[in-house]
Amino acid sequence: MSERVTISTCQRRLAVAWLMGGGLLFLVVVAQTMAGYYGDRAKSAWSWLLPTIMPTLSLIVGAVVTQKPESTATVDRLAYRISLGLSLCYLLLALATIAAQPFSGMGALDFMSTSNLWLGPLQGLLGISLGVFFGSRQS
Amino acid sequence: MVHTRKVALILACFITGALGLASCPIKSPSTSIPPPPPPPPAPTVTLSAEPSIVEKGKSVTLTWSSENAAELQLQPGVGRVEAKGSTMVTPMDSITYTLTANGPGGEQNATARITITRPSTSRGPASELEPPKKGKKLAKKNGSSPAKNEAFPQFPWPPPQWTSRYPVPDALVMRTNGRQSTLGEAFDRIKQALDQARIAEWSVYAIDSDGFAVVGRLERIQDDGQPEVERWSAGRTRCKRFTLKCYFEALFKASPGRYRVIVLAVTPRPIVAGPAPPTTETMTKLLKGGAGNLPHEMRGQVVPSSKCEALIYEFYRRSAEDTPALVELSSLEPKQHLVGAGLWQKGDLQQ
Repeated sequence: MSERVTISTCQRRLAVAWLMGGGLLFLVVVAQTMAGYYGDRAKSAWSWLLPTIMPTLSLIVGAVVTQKPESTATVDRLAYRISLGLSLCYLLLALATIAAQPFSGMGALDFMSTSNLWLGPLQGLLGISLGVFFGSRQS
Repeated sequence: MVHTRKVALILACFITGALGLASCPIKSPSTSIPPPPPPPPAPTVTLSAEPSIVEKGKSVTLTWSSENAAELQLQPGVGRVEAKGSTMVTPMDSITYTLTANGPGGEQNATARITITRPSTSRGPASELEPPKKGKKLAKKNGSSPAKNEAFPQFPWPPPQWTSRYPVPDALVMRTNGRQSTLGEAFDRIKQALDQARIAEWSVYAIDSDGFAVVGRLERIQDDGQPEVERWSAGRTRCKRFTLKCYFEALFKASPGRYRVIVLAVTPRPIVAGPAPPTTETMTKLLKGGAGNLPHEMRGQVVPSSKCEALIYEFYRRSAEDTPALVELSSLEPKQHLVGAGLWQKGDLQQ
C-alpha cells in the first residue's frame, strides 16, 4: 500500500514552485526585452519562453483554483515527489538557459533554441509524471 | 367583399413590385463615382549573360525577359528587342550590357557584365583559379605566378551601395615622385597603408582591365571611428574578468555594435553606387572572394585619369541578436573613418 498525501497540499507546493520559477523567467525576459537585449527579435525570445512555461503552469494553477478547500482527496506520495522533483529540475534548466547566455558562444536566441533539445524531453517526462499524479487521486 | 379582394390584390402587386424594384441594382448617375483608373504597372526587366566570364573571341548568350514594357532597348550594339529572348554576342573586351525597358509605368534598367579574359594555351590547376582567402599570405603566392590571372576576380560593378565615399588625395596613392603612379605603385601604397592600419586581411579585385579595388576586413568600431578593443570580433562584448556587474551587463544590455569595411578603389571610371545595400555577409564574401595580389600585367599600367576613392561601408546593429544593417547616413565623416582605421593621418588627408 503506497503512502498518500492530501492533494491540496501537493498542488499548492507545485503551484508555488511553478509560479516562482515561471515568474522569475518571465521577469528576466521582460527586463531583457525592455533593455533591447533581443533587438528586433524579441518575438523569438517570447516564442521560446511561452511554450516553455505556460502549458504546465496553467495546468497546475487551474487545478489549484478549481480544487475545493475542504477537499480531503489524496494522491500517491511518490507520484507527487517525482512531479515536484521534475518540475524543479525543469525550471532550473530553463532558468540556467537564460542565465548562461553571457557565457554561451552562440547567440542568445540560438542558445534558447538549442535548449529545446534537453527541455523538450524533460517536459514530456514532467507531463507523464503530472498525469500519474492527478490520476492517483482518491476521494 | 369583391372590392376588398381587389384592394388586397392591388396591394399585393404593389408590394411585390416594390420589393422587386428594390432588389434591382439601380444605377444612379448622381451618386455613382467612377473609380480612378489604376496606375499603370511599372515595367520589370531581367538580363543575364551566360557565361559571364569568357576568353576573348568566344561567344556569350544574353538572355532577357520583361513585363509591362512598351519598348525594350539592349545596348550597346543590339538595339530594339522583343519582350523575351536571347542573343549571342562576341565582345572583344569586357563590357556591360544594359537593357532599358520603357512603358507607361516608367523606365527600368537591368545590366549584365561580361568579363573577357585572354585566351590561354595552358590553364593552371583549378586551385590557382580559386580566389585566395587572405591577403598577405596569398600575395606571395600570386606574386610568384603572375601569368596565371586570366580569371582574375572582378569587383562587382556598379559597386554595392556605400555609406560614404572619400576621394583619397592623389599624393597619397596616385602620384609617385611627381608623376602619375603605375597601378602597381598605387597598389603598393595602399598595401602600405593597410599594413600601417594593421588590417592584415584584405583582398584585391580588378575593375575592368585598368583599375582595381582593395577590400578590407570588417572591423568593429567605436562611436568616434576608432577601432574597438575587440576589433575583429563580431559577437557580443565579453567580460575580460568575471564580476557581477559585468555579468548582469552581459545579461541585460543590448550590446549594440558598429562595424565598418573600407574599400579602396582605383579606377578612371566614375563610381556610381549599385541599387542594393550590402549586408555584412556580402562584404565578408567579397573579402574572401578576391585575390591576394594585383595581376602582373596590370602593375606596369599607367592610367592617366585614375583616381583612388575610399568607399566606406558602415553597419550598425542595435543588439547582438540583430543582423547589422548598412548605415545610410553616418554621424562620422569619411575622413574620420580613414583616420580612425589608421590608414592615413589626419594631416595627410587635407586636400
